[in-house]
Amino acid sequence: MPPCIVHIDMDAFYASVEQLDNPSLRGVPVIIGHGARGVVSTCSYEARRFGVHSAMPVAQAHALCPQGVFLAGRRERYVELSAVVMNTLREFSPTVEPASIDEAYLDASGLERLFGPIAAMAQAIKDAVRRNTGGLTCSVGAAPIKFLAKIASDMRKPDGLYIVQPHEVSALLHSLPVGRLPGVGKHMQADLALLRVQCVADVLARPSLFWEQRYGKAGLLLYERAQGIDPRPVLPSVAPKSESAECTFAEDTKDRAVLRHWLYVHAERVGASLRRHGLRGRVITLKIKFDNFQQISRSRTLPQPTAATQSIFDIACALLAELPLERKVRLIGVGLSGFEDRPVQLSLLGCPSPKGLVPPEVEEKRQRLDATLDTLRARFGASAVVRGRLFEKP
Amino acid sequence: MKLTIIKEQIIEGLQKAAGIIPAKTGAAYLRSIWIKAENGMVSIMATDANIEFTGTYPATVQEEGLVGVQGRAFVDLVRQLPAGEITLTMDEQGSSLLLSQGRRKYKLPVNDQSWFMPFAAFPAENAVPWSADFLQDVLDKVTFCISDDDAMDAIACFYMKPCGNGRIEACGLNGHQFALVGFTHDDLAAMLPEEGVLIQKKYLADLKKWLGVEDIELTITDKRLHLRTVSGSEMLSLPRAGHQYPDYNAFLSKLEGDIASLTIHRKDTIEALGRISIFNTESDRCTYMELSSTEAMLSAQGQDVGSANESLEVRYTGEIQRIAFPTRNLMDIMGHFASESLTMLLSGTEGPAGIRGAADPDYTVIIMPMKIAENMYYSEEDV
Repeated sequence: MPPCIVHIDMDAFYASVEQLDNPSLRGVPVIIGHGARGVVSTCSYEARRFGVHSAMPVAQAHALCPQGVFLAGRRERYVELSAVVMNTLREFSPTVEPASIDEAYLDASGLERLFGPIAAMAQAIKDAVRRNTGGLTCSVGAAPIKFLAKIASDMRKPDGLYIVQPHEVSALLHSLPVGRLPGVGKHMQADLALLRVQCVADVLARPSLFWEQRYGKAGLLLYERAQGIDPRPVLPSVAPKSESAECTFAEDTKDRAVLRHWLYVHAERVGASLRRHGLRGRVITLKIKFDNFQQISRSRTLPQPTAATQSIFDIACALLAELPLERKVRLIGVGLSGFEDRPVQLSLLGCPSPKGLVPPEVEEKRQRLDATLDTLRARFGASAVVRGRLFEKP
Repeated sequence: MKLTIIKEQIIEGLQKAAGIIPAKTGAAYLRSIWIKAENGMVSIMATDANIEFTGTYPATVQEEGLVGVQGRAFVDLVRQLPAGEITLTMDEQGSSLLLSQGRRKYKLPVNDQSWFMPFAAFPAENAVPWSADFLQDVLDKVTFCISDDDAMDAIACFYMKPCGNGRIEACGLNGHQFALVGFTHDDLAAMLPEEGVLIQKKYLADLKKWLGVEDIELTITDKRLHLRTVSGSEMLSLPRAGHQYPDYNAFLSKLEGDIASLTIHRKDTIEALGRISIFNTESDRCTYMELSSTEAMLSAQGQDVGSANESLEVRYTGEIQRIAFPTRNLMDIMGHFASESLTMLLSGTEGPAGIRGAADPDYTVIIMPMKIAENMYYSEEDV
């Protein structure tokens, strides 16, 4: 029996949630993204008709769709409804892999006896999602291969349903533009265009050795995907890989005091989120976007994981201090990753590491302080207690 | 300058000198080996600006002089020449050193004599004799525990200090492991400053390479540690580091009193750990030990490689039932002992574990266990 993988993609999720919760927004172009210098997270289909799309600068979206309703977004509400969607999917299969807040893969192999043919099951999923969320629609694609399932869900958006039967895989793949294959980014696509490779069939016109020699491992992967080989299974409950926070300034700045202030704000947010989920990370990343949109990131790996706000801030500051700021900064962010719970060898001395790890007793104190602050905020609200250094903006 | 040397008498010294000069440096001075001919001897000198090496060997000196040559090229050339006499002659303009052996002739550019900076002389007064073998053994037993990271200050150093009654302790530490060798040497103990002597690990490899079969003399000045072969033919001096060494008695004392004790067969355990290590992964490099009075169950599990379980016959007393150590480090430590059986003194699942062996008197290595559980719990408190 061939595998059957279903991809579920919520339609314009954030905007749809806003329209769901506020009936006056229905039928109106809704754009999630605010501030003159922000970026569009998503927008309703009404807004898309004006050429607005995600990742577009808000200013451009304003120009294209001045009548649009621009909203900041309510992440907590989106998370809440995302959980409803994921739980709905788990009613159909125990093997559900959330791919992001608004999309997921579901392994439907062998479920025909329970839910009937795959088309019926996919429709049942769509109906259940709509019912359980109070009216949100999703697009569903099904295919024997993971990446094709994702492509299929995009075929008939919004509120679409597209099933790729095993015997259709080859024909569908061959006609696909090569840029739809996972792993083919802008650069590779441009390079493939030089070779006159436009669709997937063009990839298969050359042997795998050619692609390996040209792109190395990525070339082999390209050839495999073009053949419809994608051994990735649906992995239930994938652990989070990173947590980050960032902001775009109203005015570009080179003022390091301002940058440090925001690093602290981000460190606080990242640290609190990780502590809430019982996670600690070893890799701290500083992200900076300059006023010319050049983006850089600098990371440091700690010998031992941390979730302490001060520790995250200290390392991020050290990374910032090492950067010469030749241009003004447009965006600054902090991320923490490397959450794997690997055993670590204990320290004999509690000596500070040269790479910024503080002595265990200091880290412990920071964790205790964080835990106390987290408790206070959980009980009395997020602004119940604020660190002194955040009282005043520089 | 003109002299004749015998390759076999000089090649070993030349190779030691070549080992000291930095492989890559922009400073021609540091890339040079200096050759000084005087009083019927030739001195070979090399430095990396920290370590200084001088070897003096017999030569037939027709004209005395001092010259610096590109070290590695000179040593490579001499090494590849057949055994026998080699003649070194400075050309008339003083710009090249001519090396000749029979029908072979080579011309090497030289450094100006004014570049030469005198090396520290060996302060012979107060020098104490020491066995090169013994020093080599001490270094072997502790160096592997010293941190490789220079930025770790004192714990990137070999440390030696007097501890009364002619006793000396030599040790190395990297934050997770500690090795200590104790020995008696009245004269050396009297010479060592009370605060001890620290030598950075990066110099120890050169010191170990320099140590040969010939015994040595050693003396200590404010800034340097000086060593010389008893015949006086070779000298090495190393800079002392000025850091404060951690008080290792703080964790050494945890091995005293009534603590858990695990006695194992050294060779069997190393072999078992070797097999277990196959099942270690980058994310989990430890061996888990389940302990009972007569058995230690060793295990490891790797996501892609499967799992391993081995039972070892042991003698164990104590409350600790489960403990984990980094497999490779434990093997490395046990490999430095000679005893047939070893005793691991376990101060706690998260406390220092000391390893000792009956046939390795005055030698202790401490290793910290792995912290297995990483869960964090936050509870609501009344504040």
